[in-house]
Amino acid sequence: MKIRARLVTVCVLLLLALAVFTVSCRGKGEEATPSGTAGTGGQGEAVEEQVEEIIQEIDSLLESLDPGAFDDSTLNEQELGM
Amino acid sequence: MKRVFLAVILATLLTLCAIAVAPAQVRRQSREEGPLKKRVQERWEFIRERMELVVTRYENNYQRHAEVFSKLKERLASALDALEKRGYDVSALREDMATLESMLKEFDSDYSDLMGKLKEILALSADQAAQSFLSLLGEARELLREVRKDILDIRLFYQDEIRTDLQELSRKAG
Repeated sequence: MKIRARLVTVCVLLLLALAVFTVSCRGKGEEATPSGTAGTGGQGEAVEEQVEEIIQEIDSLLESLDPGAFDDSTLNEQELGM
Repeated sequence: MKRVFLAVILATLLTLCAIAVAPAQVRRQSREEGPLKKRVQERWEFIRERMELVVTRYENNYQRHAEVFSKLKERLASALDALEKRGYDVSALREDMATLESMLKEFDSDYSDLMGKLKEILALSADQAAQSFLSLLGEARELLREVRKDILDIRLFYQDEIRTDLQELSRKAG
């Protein structure tokens, strides 16, 4: 009876260890998967968001520039009071 | 004999008159040239002041453009590093970055040529300006067009290449 109980405990502990190992392996696997094409769904979405954020940031930076800053009209006779 | 004598006296008188009038004429001419020269000088000073304002405006605009382009480069470089670390293929965007870099160098160089020409104009004296201002201004305008074209090229390159490659990467990741 005592031996049986010990065996059950050992089995339960082994199963627990196996479960922990499996979970940790899956986590590492997800971190390493991105590859050249696509990672898991969650990571892909994160990249999409990141890229969208960069595009918006750069767009607004470029929009902040005056489009007429170096226009021909800035160096004509009228501008120079001729 | 009397006639000859009268003719000699007349000729002498005429010569004396001519000698007396000539310096007066020169004096009058120089008196007229004085205000004209002053007017030309004042006009040139006015145009030069206006040009100084234009140069200051260009310098501010250039600073602003250089700042924005530098931020764009930094932001893009850090994003590419992060994406590359996570295993994404960013080689197309790296090539875009190299092209962008050379376009920015061209912009800097053309802007520097424009400033050189404008400073050459500002260094003219009124007399020199009367001779060469218009032709130098024409050259400056050509250089200004180059600078403007560089900026448009950079914006277009971002829209057509960098932005497109970023969206392509995002699409692949999704």
